[in-house]
Amino acid sequence: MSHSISRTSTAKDQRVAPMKTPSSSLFGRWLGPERMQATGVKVAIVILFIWGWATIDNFASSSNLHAIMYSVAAIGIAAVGMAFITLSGNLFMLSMAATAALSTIIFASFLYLGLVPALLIVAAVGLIIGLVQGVVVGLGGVNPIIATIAVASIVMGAGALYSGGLTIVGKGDASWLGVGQLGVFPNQLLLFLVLAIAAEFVVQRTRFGRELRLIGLNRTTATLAGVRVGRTLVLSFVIAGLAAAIAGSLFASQAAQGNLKLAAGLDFDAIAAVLVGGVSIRGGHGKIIDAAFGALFLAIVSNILLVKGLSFEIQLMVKGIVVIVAVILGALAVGLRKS
Amino acid sequence: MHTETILQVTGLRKTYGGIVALDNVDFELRVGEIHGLCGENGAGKSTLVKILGGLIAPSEGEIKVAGDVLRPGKRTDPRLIAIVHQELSIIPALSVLDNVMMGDERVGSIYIRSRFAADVRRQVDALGLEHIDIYQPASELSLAEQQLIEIARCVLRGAKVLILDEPTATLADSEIHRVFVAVRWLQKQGTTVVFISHRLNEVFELTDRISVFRNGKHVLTTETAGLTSDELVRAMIGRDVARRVVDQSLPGVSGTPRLRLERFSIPGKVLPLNLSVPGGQIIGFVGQLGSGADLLVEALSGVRAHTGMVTLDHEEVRIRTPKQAIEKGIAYVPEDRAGKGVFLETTVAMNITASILDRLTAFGLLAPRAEADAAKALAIRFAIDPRRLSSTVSQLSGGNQQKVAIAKAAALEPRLLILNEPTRGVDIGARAEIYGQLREMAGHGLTIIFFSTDFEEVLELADRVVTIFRGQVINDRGVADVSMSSILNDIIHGPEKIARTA
Amino acid sequence: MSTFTASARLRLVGGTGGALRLGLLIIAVVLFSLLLDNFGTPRNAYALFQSFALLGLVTLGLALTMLVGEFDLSVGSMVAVGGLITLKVGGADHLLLGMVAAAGFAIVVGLFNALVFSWLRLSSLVITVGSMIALGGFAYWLADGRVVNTDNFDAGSLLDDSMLGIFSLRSLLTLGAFVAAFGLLKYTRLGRNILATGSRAAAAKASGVSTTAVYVVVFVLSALCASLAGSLLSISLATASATMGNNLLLQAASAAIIGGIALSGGIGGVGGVLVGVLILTALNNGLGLLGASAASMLFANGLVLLVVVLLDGRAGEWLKKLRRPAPLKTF
Repeated sequence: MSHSISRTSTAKDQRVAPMKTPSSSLFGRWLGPERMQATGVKVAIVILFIWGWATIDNFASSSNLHAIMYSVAAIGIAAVGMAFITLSGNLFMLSMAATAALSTIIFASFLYLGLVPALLIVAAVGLIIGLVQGVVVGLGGVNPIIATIAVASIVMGAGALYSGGLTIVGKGDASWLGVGQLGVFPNQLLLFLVLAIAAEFVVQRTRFGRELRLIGLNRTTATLAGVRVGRTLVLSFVIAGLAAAIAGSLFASQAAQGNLKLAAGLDFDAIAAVLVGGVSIRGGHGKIIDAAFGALFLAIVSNILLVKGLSFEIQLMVKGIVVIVAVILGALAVGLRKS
Repeated sequence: MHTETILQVTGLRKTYGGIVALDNVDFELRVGEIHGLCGENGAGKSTLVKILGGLIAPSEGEIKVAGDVLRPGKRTDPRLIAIVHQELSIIPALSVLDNVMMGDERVGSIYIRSRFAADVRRQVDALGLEHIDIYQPASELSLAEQQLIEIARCVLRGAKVLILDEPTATLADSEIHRVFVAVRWLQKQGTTVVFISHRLNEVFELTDRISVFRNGKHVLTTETAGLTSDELVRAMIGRDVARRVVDQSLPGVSGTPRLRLERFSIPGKVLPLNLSVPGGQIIGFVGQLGSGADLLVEALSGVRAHTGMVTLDHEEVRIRTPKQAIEKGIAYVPEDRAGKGVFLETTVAMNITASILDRLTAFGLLAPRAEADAAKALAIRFAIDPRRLSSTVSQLSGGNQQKVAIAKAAALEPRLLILNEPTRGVDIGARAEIYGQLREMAGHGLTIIFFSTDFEEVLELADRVVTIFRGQVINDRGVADVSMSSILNDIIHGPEKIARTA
Repeated sequence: MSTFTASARLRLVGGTGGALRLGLLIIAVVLFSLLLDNFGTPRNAYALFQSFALLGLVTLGLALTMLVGEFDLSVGSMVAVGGLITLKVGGADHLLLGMVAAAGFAIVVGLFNALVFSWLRLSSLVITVGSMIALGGFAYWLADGRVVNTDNFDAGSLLDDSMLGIFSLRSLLTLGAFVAAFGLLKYTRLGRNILATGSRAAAAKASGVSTTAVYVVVFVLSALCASLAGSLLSISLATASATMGNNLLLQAASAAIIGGIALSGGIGGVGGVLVGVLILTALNNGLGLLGASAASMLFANGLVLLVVVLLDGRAGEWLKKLRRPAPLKTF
């Protein structure tokens, strides 16, 4: 044992940051700045729904509810995939629409083999497209926005070349996916729920999910701590590509055909859902399930706009504005947390 | 040298909450003098400089330059006082000319560069840079040349007082010489130069007068000619420090070495060295900024490229990346806690377990019970309140944050723990705790290597002290055989001692 | 004038990168001229420069935002909106008014983009994604499900009549914009500030540069360029549609990066962008003449961007290592 040097404390030793009391768990979990937006969206969903029910005829009718459920399913799956990219700090994947578009064509083309084989082939394609982007961005260090824009064009071009710009009618039975239901719930919606819950589970409970979040929080610290950065990022893109492919299958099955235009706007919808749901742009904050709720929120908003007679174009504008507002609010909340 | 005063500081005081950064400072500068400013980190030098530059306002006190009182908190007119910071404000993509003219009022909305070419050329030549093209991008210049461009910029705007903050810290000999030439030229032009440096031999060589700050107080100003190196050091440190009482024998010396370095070097920065460290020993690397001592710890952690052989427990290892280092049982605690050491915006628990996820995983799934147990055990071991495991790290004090960073590294149960500035910005209580924890780990056989610019820390924590000067190991001795002044001598004088007697 | 003529001359071309780019352009032109009979004709050159007129203007604006280290994702949508506003407001007789209206709208969008991202300290990518979506929707709303037409074909002729055989007023306008941008960057303080902000914003700020003002100027110019390009295109075609701007973002990004604009900011020049745009238009023109479908061109453009950006990342790192000051030698 050794004795330490005795000395009076100097100015440099006294720089102690004041200890802030940790927020109590219930408050922190729902209303602290960290979760404020996610909670807000859930509240907004309930309020919107009630408002729609009260003010709009047939809002709660079976057919309208079905419309909402169908619109949530595909976009929700894409949003869940997108959330993996956003959580890891790679902002967005702007190739989701293209991947989904190509998937509709491939799905229709191979439907004659059966629903499940067609789905497997589509999944493989989505996987590969995601893998390429994962390697380019995760290992090659390329800017994710630019890389995914580039891949989007490649995929779209490939799709157009393959289909000749024509619609491909599937020769097979996709009705289980397209219009099938379990009780009152469309199979598409159930698929979305299963995937969303599975994704949430993966991020919360697996090593991959933990590493994903750590990378999004601080990539440098993660690298120094031995986190498997390259592998995790590649996998995140693979998942996102897969999600886009599945979303495309949903579109195709519903339309009973493959057409590049079916997935138009999917990027925007998925991004909007992720941001509105409360997954932070900066990475590392938020839950996958938040993206799912964001998709639900936007689906209800779109539905209300539609039922009120507002055009598709206005919906698109609203989505853009919603993205901007969500980003602004999110940034303000960060400012709030820091003060 | 004139004796009239160009800068007068009276009763300057700056407090941050309860902390006194500057305490009733009186200070004056004479026209055309080269004035050295010395003091340890945290002595108040940088606070003084920031106030002089108008970046922060003093709590009390007055500053007069050339007879005019400075408005507190307002950016000082660069024609009065100009500061060349340690971190250069060079803009790499712009040309030399652009950089020199940056911030100059004579640059109007229309900017015809050729109009300023002659002036810039003249200024740049005067500082010894005749060989550079003023139209080439500043990124192509060496660090020293960039430094001089910064100076040229300040001079061209006609600063009366030029403050150089550690201008030679990262420069090689020949480059330092150029800076000296420039400074002496400035003096001839009547500019007052304040030379802030830890390199005491340079301070002695260059300056007319030296001032020392310690603990926020201005403790000494005297003619350089009459001052000895020892007197200067004593003024900086302030007391004769009681040596830590240690066993004469270095712990862990018997037995096979845990770590062996052979011809280990960092090209361009650190000369090849050999080192042999037994298990359970704590080694401190000390050296000034630019000596390469800090780079050594980075290299050993896989963060920096290096050459030579590294042997860990008889096994030759490759540590080219942090991941490889970790796989071999080398854990690293970096110097920039907030940026690299911890995940600020998440919980303590998530931080502590970040490096050992593989051990807490079965079939890809994290085992929450195992994770919670591990986190709790580590927290207790490092004196972190287990109730704070779910707190966000950013809410913790600096000391607690550092404990989290260390716990995260220690979780790996490494064979070698490397720390870069182990307790920078940590309060005294947490420091003692951290030292205790580190020593306990060493007692169980962990080899610890750390780099620190705080000599007291080195003397307190290390069993063995390695001093480094300009990439070269000067001395490698047990802590019982070194003292604060011996360390200082090594790292500022290097292999040759410059004898200065009164 | 300088005594360092060799390096100065190289710098005039834009460094080794610039020389490579010029070389690539020359090779592409020569190759296509040899492979295709109708590539080297004045008529084809005219077509090429007509494409250049559109892409060049859009790329110029985008490149300015890249120079400050940011990125305006909304340029493609802005082209469509610009065209639509011009025709809807201008009708047949007041096209100039229509253009002014479009320009006014562009200024507002540019202001919004710049202020929001700099105020929130976010990447501009995030804000302009939102703008891109909103503008896209706005374009669809303006178009109201169809294309908007104008009866004023004279204005179109004015813009498109060939001048000097291969140019038109439109392409000359774009060239003029390039000249203006060149002047801005080389001979004004604002231009210097743009590069300073892109290279090291903190240092620029410390020297008194208002980075916010710089961002505003750059994003407003970007929106204006896109809007103007859309206006001119719609007048020239006498129609405007919501899909006018499709693929422009992709091509503009490729052209800018090929043109030597670094994604990180501060590096690149107008001359390089010019060459980059020419390379891309030559490529697409040649492909078109070879019989490639729109789909193949889309595919090719995407591939080009991917390759270029991969190289920009790796090659850029390598180039930076060359440009960095000589490593400190302590011994």
